[in-house]
Amino acid sequence: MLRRNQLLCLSAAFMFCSGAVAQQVKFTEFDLPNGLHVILHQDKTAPVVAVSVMYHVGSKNEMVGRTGFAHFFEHLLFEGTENIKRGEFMKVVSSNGGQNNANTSQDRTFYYELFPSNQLELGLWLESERMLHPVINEIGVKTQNEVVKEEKRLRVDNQPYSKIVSEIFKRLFIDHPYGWQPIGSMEDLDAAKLEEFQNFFKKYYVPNNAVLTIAGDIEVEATRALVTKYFSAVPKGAPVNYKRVEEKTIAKSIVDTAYDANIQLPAIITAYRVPGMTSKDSKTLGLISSILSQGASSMLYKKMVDEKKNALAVQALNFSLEDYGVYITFALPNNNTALDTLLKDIDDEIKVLKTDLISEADYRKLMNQFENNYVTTNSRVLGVAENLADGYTFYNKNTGNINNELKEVRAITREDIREAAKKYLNTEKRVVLYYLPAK
Amino acid sequence: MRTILLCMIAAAVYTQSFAQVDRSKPPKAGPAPIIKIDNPVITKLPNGITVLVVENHKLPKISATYSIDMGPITEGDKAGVLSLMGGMLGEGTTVRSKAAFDQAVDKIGADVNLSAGGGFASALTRYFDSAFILMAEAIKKPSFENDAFEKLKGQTLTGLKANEKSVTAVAGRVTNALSYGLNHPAGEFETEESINNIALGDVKQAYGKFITPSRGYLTFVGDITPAKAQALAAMAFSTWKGAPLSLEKLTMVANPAKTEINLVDMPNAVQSEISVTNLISLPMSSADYFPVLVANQILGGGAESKLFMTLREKRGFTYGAYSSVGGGRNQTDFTASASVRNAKTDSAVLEFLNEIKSMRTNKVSDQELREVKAKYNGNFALGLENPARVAAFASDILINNLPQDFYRTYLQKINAVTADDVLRVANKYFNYDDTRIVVTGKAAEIEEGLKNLGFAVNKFDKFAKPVTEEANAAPVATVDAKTVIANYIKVIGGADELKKVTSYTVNMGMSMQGMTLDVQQKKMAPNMEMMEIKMGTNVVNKTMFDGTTGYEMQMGQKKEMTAEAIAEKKAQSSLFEQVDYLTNKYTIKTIGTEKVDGKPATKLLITLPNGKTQTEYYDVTSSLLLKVEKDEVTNGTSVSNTVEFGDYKKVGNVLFPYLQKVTISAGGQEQSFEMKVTEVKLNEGVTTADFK
Repeated sequence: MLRRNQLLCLSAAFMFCSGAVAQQVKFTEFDLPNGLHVILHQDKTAPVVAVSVMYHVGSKNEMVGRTGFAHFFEHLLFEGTENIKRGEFMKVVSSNGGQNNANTSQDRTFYYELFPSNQLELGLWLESERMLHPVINEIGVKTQNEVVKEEKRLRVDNQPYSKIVSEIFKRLFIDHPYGWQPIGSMEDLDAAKLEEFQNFFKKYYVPNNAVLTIAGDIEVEATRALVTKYFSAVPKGAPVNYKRVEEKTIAKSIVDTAYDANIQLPAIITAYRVPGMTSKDSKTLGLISSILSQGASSMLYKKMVDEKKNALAVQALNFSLEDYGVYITFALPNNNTALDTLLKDIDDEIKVLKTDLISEADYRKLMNQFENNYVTTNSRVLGVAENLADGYTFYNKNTGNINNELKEVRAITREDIREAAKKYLNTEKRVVLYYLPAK
Repeated sequence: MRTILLCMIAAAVYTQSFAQVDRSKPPKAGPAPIIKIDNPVITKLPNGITVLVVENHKLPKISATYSIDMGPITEGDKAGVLSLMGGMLGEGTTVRSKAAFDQAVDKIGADVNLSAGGGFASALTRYFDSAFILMAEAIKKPSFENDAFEKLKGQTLTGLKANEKSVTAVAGRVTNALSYGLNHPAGEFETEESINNIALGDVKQAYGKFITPSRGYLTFVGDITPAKAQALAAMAFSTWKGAPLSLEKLTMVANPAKTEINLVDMPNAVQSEISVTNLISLPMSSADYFPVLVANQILGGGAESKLFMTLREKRGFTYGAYSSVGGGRNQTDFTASASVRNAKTDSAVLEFLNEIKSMRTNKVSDQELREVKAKYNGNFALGLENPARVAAFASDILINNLPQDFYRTYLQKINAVTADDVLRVANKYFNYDDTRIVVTGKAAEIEEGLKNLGFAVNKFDKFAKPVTEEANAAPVATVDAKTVIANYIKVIGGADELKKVTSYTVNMGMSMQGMTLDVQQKKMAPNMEMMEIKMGTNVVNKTMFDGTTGYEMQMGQKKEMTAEAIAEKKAQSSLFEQVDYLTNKYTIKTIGTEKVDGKPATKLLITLPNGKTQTEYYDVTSSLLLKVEKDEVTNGTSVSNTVEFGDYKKVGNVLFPYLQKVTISAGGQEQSFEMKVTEVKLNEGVTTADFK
């Protein structure tokens, strides 16, 4: 049922770290006694309300041998609750004029409903039912197991270039759970017992590990009352403890090949392990990807697609996550250009960034591009809800983090950019992947 | 004081309502929100451009779209010219080069895109004027340089190539081509040939004809006042002139007289793409428009619709099955479609037809009708979050000549649809006895089942051309196999000359998946041979046979040659295997004639001494070997191996093919690469030491 690709398409990953609005986003926040953190944002421009819950659980909370649980729950928690019959959850949403979905990353799972604003209470009922007493039984597990397999076939096994992210991550993360993808292993899911799923729910899907964010055409005080009405009954859970695993540094560049039966054109990929999303360097690396590949005047696009015409596409992006980030470059050849030629062209430009400061004009361009993206990503209430929840979940409970982001990025200097390129884009400590058509 | 009061009220509400939470059923909706659709401000420039402005100050951003209502256009043997023309608008102007243009756009962090239909510009409020002016400049003054044209053409060709084996891409274009016909704008498609047909002059001509103020709509949305937007529009466009534009008159296309299946064979398909489709005429102003929307939604509009429930939830044939329908000035289509696994293709076709029939026979229930209407009402409200929606409503009204209140009364009209309306329009627009079923998939696995359904099954190729069984046969008299081989030996140099060759070395270059590899092959009489493939200085693969034994080495892993393979090698007594074909160790026979790459060829079946067979094709005209095909079983999977030969050149007194195209296919996947010979040396420098 999940419609967004959890493996995050490359460009979506780029957007992930840059979302926020230019004006100050106002909000109200409070905790219920059971530990549920609640964020309310009023915006009456359209008769729409987004009701969302972000659980701070993703694939990195899973164990070796039992991967894919967080994503599996994204399916399981649509199965039904004590008051919602099996298969009715989505029907209730659509037959009341709403839309709903969920997505899972390595770090968190995000569930939401989007309704005309007169259905706010319905949204709260649905999300509280799911948190209070979902039905997790054999039949649900069995059904969703099949659906998840179909999903993997359709979205991973059958899609061109869809294995890139997993091929990169498994080489960059040996000890850290980022080594596997949210979709997980089908064998693990087959082997898991019902009890294990129930225990996973009890451990992570508790109010004290969740943020409820409501954004849109609402009255703040009335909404506060409704939230209390529906969510107070959910019992508090044990505190969630997560211990970050430290990866050993990469001793020597890893050069490898991977094969994809769904492609005709090969690709050349490089990937570097970099710091996680809360660090300043992560933002700097985001800027570096703009310098390299955002817009037709960017270094790589201009040189390879327009001038040398040896690439059909080229992209750099900083895939930022909570514990670490992954910096990726990707190119598709045009006119049968050798992959090594593309690799050299990309490396040459990165070398320039490590040596020279970018020009003042390029720096201003970068800041304008950032601001433009920043303004756009929160044009819808659902985006605002997710960004506020991100702030609380990942940025040390700073719900208003998005309001500072522009200021923080403007504080990054040209020297910071050069230093970050030098420090993190080390060609001796990376993965180079020749991604080739399978026979 | 007021806040405290509010808190007290809230607290009171909380205690009271908490006590009465009834979780057993969904809470009731509040009063329906008032949906208000503001009218954009509409004005006209003297040259005919309509300017629409939707003022919305939520974000400090403005966007502008220029779109030309040119309608569908027949491109004929130059299909793709419009899309190339659109691409060329982004390749620099007479005022500035592409690099300078891109720099100007990126410098202000803006987005400016151009296409055959017009242009789009979006930027932060403070930079919007510059972005807008850049868009206007690209529309009015493209530079049309040849270099850029060749680049875009090359990219288009690479893109076409990348999609060659995409089942969904082929299914999409063939379905349209069969429905509308290859000479209709909705049916024609780009091919390598049509792209190569296009010259820069054609692009310029298309520009002159279609990029014009005539039938143009300029829409501003965002943080801008109408007065400011109109002033910008006037400044950039009011003096612009262009050709008057009128819509192409399209002839009506008929549906099949009787339901038929159109089968397109894609041997690599693991799923069949099925479309059940018929053409319809449904202007948005038609009284049937809203009933058709509702009927389609019930049949296949979403995951709670009939098609999805039957084909996925009940039968498990597919991940999703849907139907779609469009309204408009020209003919459009009703299409129900799904990707279905091979084995269930015929059953799925039947289920599609059953569901269509049921829509035509049975009245939908009140509940179905109610739920669909609720969904439309909700989605309409949700859509209003996007301010551009309001602008789209306004231009829809203008283009389709609809009443002013079309969207303001949209939900009223949806809510007025009855079960009788749905039944009536299902019969009128969802064909059953006269529909077209297009199936793109692996014919070897699905054709039999489809034929059993009782409909005519017509086959088409990947370009929507009819396929008949005889199409591949060449009308040439068959020739005795021994003569064919004798002729071949004669043309490549003659038996005596071949006998004089006791050893040779062939150096080849090969480009595979973007990597460049060097290949060296050495042979020495009677049957010693060696082949080495290198990437740079690394040996990737080496095979060797020294006359009695051999091995294969891949990435440093050595595998001894099997007894069977040794026997096969030992059977050879000449460096040119055809010489051995004439001995009694081999059986050869002619099994037909067939075209290879357009050339008529004699097809021979060669049985090797170990019983294995391969098929070889010899050119009827030149007698040269054109192609060899063989199937092998490796690790339990069947691998078919095809080598095509060409570019024969004389080395000493013997002809060698300088071009070899190898295609390997297995498990539905296929891969091919070309080897180009750089050098052939006869009787020079090869010793037995080379075969170790």
